[in-house]
Amino acid sequence: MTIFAVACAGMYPILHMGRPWLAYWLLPYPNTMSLFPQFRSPLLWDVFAVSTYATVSALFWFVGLIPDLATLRDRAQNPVARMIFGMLSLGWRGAASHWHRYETACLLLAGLSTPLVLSVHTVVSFDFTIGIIPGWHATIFPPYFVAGAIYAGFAMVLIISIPLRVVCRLEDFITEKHLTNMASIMLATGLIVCFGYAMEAFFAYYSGNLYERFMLVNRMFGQYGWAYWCLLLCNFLAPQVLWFKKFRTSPFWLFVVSLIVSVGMWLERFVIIVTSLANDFLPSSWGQYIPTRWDFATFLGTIGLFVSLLFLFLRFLPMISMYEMRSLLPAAKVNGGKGAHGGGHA
Amino acid sequence: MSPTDLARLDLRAPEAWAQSRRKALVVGGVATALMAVGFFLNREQFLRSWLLGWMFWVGLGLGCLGLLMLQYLTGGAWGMVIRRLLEAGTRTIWLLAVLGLPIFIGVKVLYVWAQPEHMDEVLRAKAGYLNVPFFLARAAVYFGLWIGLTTLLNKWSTSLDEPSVHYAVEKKIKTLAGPGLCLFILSVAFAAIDWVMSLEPHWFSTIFGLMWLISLVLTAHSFTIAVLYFLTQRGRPMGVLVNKHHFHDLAKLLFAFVMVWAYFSFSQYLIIWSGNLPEEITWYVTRLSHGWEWFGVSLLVFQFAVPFLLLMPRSFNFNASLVLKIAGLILVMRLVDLFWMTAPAFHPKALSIHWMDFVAPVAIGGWWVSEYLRQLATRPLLMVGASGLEEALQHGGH
Repeated sequence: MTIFAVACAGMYPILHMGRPWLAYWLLPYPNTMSLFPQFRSPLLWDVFAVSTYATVSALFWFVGLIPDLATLRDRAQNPVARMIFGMLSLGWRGAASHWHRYETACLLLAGLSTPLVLSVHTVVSFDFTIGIIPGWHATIFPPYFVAGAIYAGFAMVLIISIPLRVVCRLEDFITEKHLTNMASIMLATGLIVCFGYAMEAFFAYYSGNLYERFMLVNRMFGQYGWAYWCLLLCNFLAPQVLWFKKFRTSPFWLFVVSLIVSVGMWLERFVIIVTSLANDFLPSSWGQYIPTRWDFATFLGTIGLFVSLLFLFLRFLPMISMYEMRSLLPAAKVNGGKGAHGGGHA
Repeated sequence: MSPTDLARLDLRAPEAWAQSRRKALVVGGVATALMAVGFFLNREQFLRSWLLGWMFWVGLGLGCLGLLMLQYLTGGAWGMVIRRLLEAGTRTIWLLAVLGLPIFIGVKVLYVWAQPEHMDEVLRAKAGYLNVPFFLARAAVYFGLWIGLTTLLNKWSTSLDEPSVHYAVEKKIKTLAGPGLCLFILSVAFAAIDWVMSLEPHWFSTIFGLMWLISLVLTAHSFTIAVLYFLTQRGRPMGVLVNKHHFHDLAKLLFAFVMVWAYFSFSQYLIIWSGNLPEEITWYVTRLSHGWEWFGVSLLVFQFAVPFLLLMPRSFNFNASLVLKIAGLILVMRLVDLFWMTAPAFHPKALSIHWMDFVAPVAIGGWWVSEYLRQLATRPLLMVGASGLEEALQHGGH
């Protein structure tokens, strides 16, 4: 999911530049035209944050697949498939030395990925905060964006995994306990996001600043007021049902809440981006944002790309790590607890 | 070790600590007497220093409450062994409310927004929030909430001292801890705005509440590590029960808190620096000139870089005495950080350190530590009947 989402996300800035064939200008490459990126701009940090994130996520994903790819190779009937899986599994034989290095590599990559999740969303929040428009320039943005990302991410995982476990009969692997734990994380991160809304609203007042105060009133009662109230309904009110065990343990209700949260997170971006830009400091530059068909096409297109990539993955590669499941079996515990332990870490 | 075996162990705080309590009282008394002299010499400075010391110890008491509720929610072996230490910390909040009286009485001397002669357009615009009656009412609500939470949590947990299973009680505590933590976070954020941020009433930063939150968690966690370390020395019963894996977990958590603190601080600095708006940047301009910058640099080095590097290697985390030293360093730096946040508000044009800045934290600390030790002695150091205690004590022993 991460990799497919990054692939989709990466398309936006590139398309946004207007001349996507010149995207490489973003990179600080040696050149004779004295074109060099502005290193103090978070937009440039974005280039590095996103590409690092994509690289490490891809590596983490691929390394995690290696033992399973070897299993697929061993079981493949079709010689072409056997050859492809054989190349991808990098000569994995399951030797003790392989496992030893493998576990170290997984641990290191997991350690690297965690701060990267923070850095990538933090840099996105810097993109906004460096613009001094009211509604964008708030110091709480970094943690608030990171929490929002985890919130939306878990909602999306639930949206995908709840139907999947029914269709593919994975109830024994993706158990209710997993779903309940994800629900708790959603509730916690959702509350952090709502804390962010509360702080933004309070500080718009507390700043005593005309423009900040106008931003808040405009958000609530301006031309896009509906979006703000829907946002609060989706991201604040709806997930409060997760306080109750009945909703946390019911896949149906979790699915519904996750859908609502996904809509809410879309609305959040809409509120932040559109309301602040539509009514900034100068009334002469005020306007109303009306999405063109290209806006819709880009959005629908990336959703299509995401879903296609995801389905291709589900079709050709194991959606649940086979070797991790093996190590969780009771027999694995009897023969050697080490495997199970390492699997748990990876 | 089964719950019945545990019940036979002597799980009280060491006898010798009663002596330390008396010492703390003497130190607190002497320092308070000095502060009383200071009050007649320089009333303004008395309040400024008192605020510094009070904020430090308030952070400690509140951090204990926050960590305790967090622990009830998440569980984990690290917290089973420090629950009672945190609980003792929460039972000092009433004393902190009393020690805050000078601030509440002296609000008109301490805070610019409460002085009519300093009123301007911006301050008038926010007078609906920053006015003396509302300020005092809010403080009463905060302390009411904190003391209420403390009372309930402490009342219910007494039944966990008997070696039998109390699922109903544990469920009750957990049910309170969730909403309690939400209210706690909100109240702490607003308390930070009231007591520290409003010293410079024109300045604002939306992350400030979160920064204060992580600061007090950092303070309470470091302090608790130190207390646990001394409780496990010299063959005391806790030393048999608490092993190096518990310290390892606590050290990892400390590492995480240090990183979160650095993350928030850096984010705030970078955003304000890059925005460079006059109403925001002044806070940093003051704090990064006239000698105040050395405090900022020392925070970067001793509250982030040194603990970060020392807590990174796994083997260092198992070294309890090293973790103790790092925790001690962080506690000192917490005070430096508070000084750096508050003092430049009063002396923007020159570095100024007063003798009362050293005495006030000691005065309040003396009273606080003695109350903490008194509270610690009133209950066993472990909740013998808490479910999962056995597993928690076997931590790392498989």
